[in-house]
Amino acid sequence: MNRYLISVSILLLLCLSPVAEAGCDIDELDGSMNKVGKLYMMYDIGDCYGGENDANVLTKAVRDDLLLVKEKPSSEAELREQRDQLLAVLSSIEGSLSNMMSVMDGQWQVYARITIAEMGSAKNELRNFDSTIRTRYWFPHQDYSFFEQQETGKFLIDYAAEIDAACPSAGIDERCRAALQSQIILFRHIELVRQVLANPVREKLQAIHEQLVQLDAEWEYYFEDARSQFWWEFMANNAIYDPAGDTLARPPAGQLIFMHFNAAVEYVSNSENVDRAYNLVGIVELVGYNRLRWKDKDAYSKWPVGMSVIATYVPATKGDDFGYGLMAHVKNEFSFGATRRDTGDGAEITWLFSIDLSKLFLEKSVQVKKQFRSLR
Amino acid sequence: MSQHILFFVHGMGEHDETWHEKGLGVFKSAFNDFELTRDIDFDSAFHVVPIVYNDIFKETRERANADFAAFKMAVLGSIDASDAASQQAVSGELDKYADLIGAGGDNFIWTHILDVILYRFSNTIRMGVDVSVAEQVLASISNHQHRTWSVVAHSLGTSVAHNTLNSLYNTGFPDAPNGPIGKLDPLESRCNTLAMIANVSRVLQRSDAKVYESRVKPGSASAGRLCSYYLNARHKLDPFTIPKAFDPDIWPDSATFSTERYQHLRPSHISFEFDDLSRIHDLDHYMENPRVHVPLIRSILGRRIIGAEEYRLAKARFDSELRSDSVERARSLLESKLPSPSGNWRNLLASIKRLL
Repeated sequence: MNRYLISVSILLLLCLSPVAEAGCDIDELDGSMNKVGKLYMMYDIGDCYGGENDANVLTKAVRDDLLLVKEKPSSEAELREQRDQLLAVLSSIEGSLSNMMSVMDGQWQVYARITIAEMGSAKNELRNFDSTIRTRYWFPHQDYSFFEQQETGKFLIDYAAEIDAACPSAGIDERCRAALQSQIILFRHIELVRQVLANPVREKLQAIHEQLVQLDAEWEYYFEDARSQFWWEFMANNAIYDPAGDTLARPPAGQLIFMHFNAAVEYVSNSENVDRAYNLVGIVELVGYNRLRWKDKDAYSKWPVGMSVIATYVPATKGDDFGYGLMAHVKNEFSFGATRRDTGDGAEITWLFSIDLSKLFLEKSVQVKKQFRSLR
Repeated sequence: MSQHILFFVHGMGEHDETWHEKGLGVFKSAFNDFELTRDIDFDSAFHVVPIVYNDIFKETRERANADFAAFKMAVLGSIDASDAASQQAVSGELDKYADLIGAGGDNFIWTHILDVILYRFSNTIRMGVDVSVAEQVLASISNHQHRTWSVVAHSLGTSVAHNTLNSLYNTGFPDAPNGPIGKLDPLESRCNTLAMIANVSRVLQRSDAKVYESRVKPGSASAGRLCSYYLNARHKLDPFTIPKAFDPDIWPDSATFSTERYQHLRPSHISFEFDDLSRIHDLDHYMENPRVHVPLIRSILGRRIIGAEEYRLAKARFDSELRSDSVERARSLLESKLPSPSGNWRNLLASIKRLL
């Protein structure tokens, strides 16, 4: 019998695959002059080989095994248990590819040998808890290649030309079928290794994400709960906050206040020369500082406090339009101050009280943002 | 199912979670134009994630505006209510001052240009934005079964995307609230395609995070490069992208450059009328051109997914549909507004104003 027909028969027997999922059958490529592109689509978009739509026994077994792998190990013993489970799965994939190798077509035997060697490296990465797990190394490159070498920029597996040579026409003859089946076996095993390695990497990403959630929450506090700032104040705060350009950092421990417009209720005790004892007055916080946390390593304080040098502006009254004084800020919401101003009967002390109106009346964008993100 | 995650990072201005839909819609419809992509169920193949960070600009602006409004109310309240002339005069002066400092009603300067200025020159705004974007990216890639992830960044978003990716992979989080944690490793997870549409990252770069020199480059993950493909799209008539243009020569190195992992896409089409010149900068306008969406599709789904002949025909078809007197008039007007290539961020802001 024809050598290719024998190979194909054995491959079919060894794979023991049920009928391929719709869209995953090799005959879908019949009639196409772009078998490389179409096969890649079946692998990548179609999830046909090693993915969700692969009915192959090995794929099913590996995906079932991965569901049983210990999640989020919290001790070295648990981490070792998780890694041992992953190593066992990886060994089964390695064993499967070793068994397949002898019936794979020509150059694909070389590719299988290369892949098995790379699996050995992947096992070492899993054994060493501190090692980088090179999941990205197991992704196909869009030039239809695998295993990019840093030193040369070349790939250890470059299968497109092999398929082109085996499948020069639109149809699928025995040689072409053997090449395609061999590539499918390679896709399947590489994809399954990728899924094994993605497991611990995903947990690392989740840990990083949890930290970023905390960091983002601190920034939300800075922008939405700490004292509001005009755009020039954001610039002025560069004087106390200048992290490196390639860092993700916490917000500053405090806020510089500079030429901040606001309003306060003013109490004038000597009210003979004023229309009312209590008036709403415009204030400008000329310069000040609001401390948000006390030590750099701490979380934001429940009692942030600050102080500003202020000027009040009260036009169209007797006496001076301007008063000057100090204002203290508590919990980012309440401010108490005193100024000295000539209200029409000589200079006197006036008392000020203010609250952050924006917190009362503006919908917090954080609520909108969280709702939007939770919709995904 | 393993999907490709596609992040969209917006530019300056007001954006909500639907901001990307126009550009995405154009990209999706392009799939109908090619043999192999026509049958792809886009929504099954891609998980689209719009990244939003302008809530920071909006919230801070609204809070400051509320404070100024209170100041104005207090000042006017001090004036005798029956003295209408004084009330009006003072109110007018305060309104002028409010417009000057951005505490008046929203206008383009304060909702768009100030975003650019603050992101570039305020360390707190920049860091808050970068952390927010980083959190949104990690939320998806850590909790989603995906094969690859790519980023489509537009305008100011190109600077944000560069800085955020650079930071995520460089120093980690040395002072994270719950103790230091490690940085991301490109060998474990990294961006497949970084599509920088209307790329202004160079004109907005900081001296300690220069875009030609950082690790945000295409190439091998083993060499520490942070993306597989870098698509730099700069429309020939888009004035935003001219000052200090991102236009490297044989970048990042000759070996990588020869593999087309860095591609400089230079669309030159116009598909709008002469009275809508700002469209030149829009994401969907860029995406319309096969010279932009075909390289993007190929970089994610494989080089052969769209053959050379199909691509040639798509370009010819697209180019033939764009001819009219109005379009030529728009072209002339745009050409007259182009800034100097040797300009800096000031020229960029002047370009923005001239265009509107």
